[in-house]
Amino acid sequence: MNSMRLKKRLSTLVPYIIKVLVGVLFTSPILICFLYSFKPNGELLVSTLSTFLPKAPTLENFWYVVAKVRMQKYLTNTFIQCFSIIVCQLVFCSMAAYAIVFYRFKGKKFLWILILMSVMIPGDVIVISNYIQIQRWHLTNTHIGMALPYLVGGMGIFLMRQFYLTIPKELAEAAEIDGCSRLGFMWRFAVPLSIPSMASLAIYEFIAIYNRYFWPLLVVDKDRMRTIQLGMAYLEGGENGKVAYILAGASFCVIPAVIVFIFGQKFLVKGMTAGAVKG
Amino acid sequence: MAKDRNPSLIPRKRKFEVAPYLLMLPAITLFGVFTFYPFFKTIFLSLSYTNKYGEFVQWAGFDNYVRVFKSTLFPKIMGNTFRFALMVGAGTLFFAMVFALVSASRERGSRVYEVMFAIPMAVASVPASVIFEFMMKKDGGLLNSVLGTSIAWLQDPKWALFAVALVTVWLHIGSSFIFLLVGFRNVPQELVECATLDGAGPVKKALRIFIPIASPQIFFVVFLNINSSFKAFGQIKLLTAGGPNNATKTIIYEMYENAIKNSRYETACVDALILFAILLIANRIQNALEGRLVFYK
Repeated sequence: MNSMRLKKRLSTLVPYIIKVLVGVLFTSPILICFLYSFKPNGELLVSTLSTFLPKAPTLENFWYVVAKVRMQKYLTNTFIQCFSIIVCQLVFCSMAAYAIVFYRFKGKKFLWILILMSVMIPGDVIVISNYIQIQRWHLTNTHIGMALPYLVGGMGIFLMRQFYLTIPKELAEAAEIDGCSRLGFMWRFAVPLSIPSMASLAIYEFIAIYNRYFWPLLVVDKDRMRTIQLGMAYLEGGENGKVAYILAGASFCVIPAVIVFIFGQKFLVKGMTAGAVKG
Repeated sequence: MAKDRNPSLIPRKRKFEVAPYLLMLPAITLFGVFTFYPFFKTIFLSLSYTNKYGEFVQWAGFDNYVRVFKSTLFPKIMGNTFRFALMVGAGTLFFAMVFALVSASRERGSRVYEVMFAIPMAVASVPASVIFEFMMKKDGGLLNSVLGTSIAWLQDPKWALFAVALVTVWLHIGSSFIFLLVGFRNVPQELVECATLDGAGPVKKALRIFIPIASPQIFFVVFLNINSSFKAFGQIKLLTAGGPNNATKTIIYEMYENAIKNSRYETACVDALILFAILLIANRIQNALEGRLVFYK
């Protein structure tokens, strides 16, 4: 009996271990980056498979990245971007979606079509033209210039709209009879109820903003305004170019996004899949 | 009469309300200024000569288009763009599908590998490029020592596009995995159990049950990856900068170089519109095929 049980145990355990190992192999670039960040530079230059773990672990690389390159300054810039864009997205997308769902007004259809059309124009197509504009307004190297084109998004409006559609219209009508205006209903009911959807949008946007590279590359050329991605690219290309420092920088750059991703995955998945696929 | 007092049945005369317009004002203004205006300006600039600040100088008609299409590099750039899309699309689909199939049934602790399969989603193109550049070194690089080869992945024109595609596949697998997993987990458990009782092996179950039922998600993922491969920028810039010998120059990278390196904004605008046309055509194809290839319940 016992061996039967053992066999059964093994038949689920072995595939499980294989899957985890495949996962480790798949994430190995990140893991290697973390491990190697603790290696002295000399050890890195001779690295092969056999010398996986750091022989003489050191924090020197991280010290360099923080004290000399001042990556935390770049991180602060990125967080300022994340905060301001996410707040604006939440407010503006909620407002627009609420108007679309809970109001009947002249020109609604037209405005809805405009929103749908805006989704058809990808950001990368208009990035150059936006850059010319920001340059003309002398907003390069400013937080405002970096944030402006991203303060609202079709995806955010869709996400919020999808949630508002699940609130029964009768609820709003009943509230109206009790003397709660449409705007009051938004503030008192719709917005608090939509917090999970807003969390999805916020986390989706956080990852997008944190990892954005093309647009900041265009509008920023001063060191004090660099975002974390620009700082990372600068560290790689600059005279600081010791491999150990670069890998420590990459770890520094990846960790915040990975933490947010792991804790926010549930919301992120909801945000990604909402409205993406029919059926 | 009493019935008429029911407020929802009375077609009340609505007085003009400002509220919805005010609610939509920020969104519509921002779309107008930062989406529609720049789009039309891109079209306008593509038909003009510009100075080095991207300002209109003179009307050019279709000169810019003719110049771009006739340039000797153009066929190469388009070839790169589409080959890259194909490699990224096929590679990502394959790996994401395998990962999602083995994760299809929930089990205790399955979140461990689920998170691992999805995690590159959180990694930006910049750190990924840095890490892979380190791993793809010709001498003493990890990839070469694992494979026992000595390929100059990023410096050899034969391999460079493939190497960049490999990094892009790695970056894209996470999101595709999540979409496919949603699809595979929609499969009714009874169906899988029935098939198991009938003696269907894992491959047969995948081909006959999981893949057909998740066909909307698979279809979506294919086009998602093709689309985002057209927009891949960071990894090209950092890994190869379009080289060696233009082997990894795609349309978006050409656009960047024209605008920033060469200050040829009019040419960059033509490139941007070519990118737009490619994305639009991909979208049309997606819509046209959707009806035929996808089975919705």
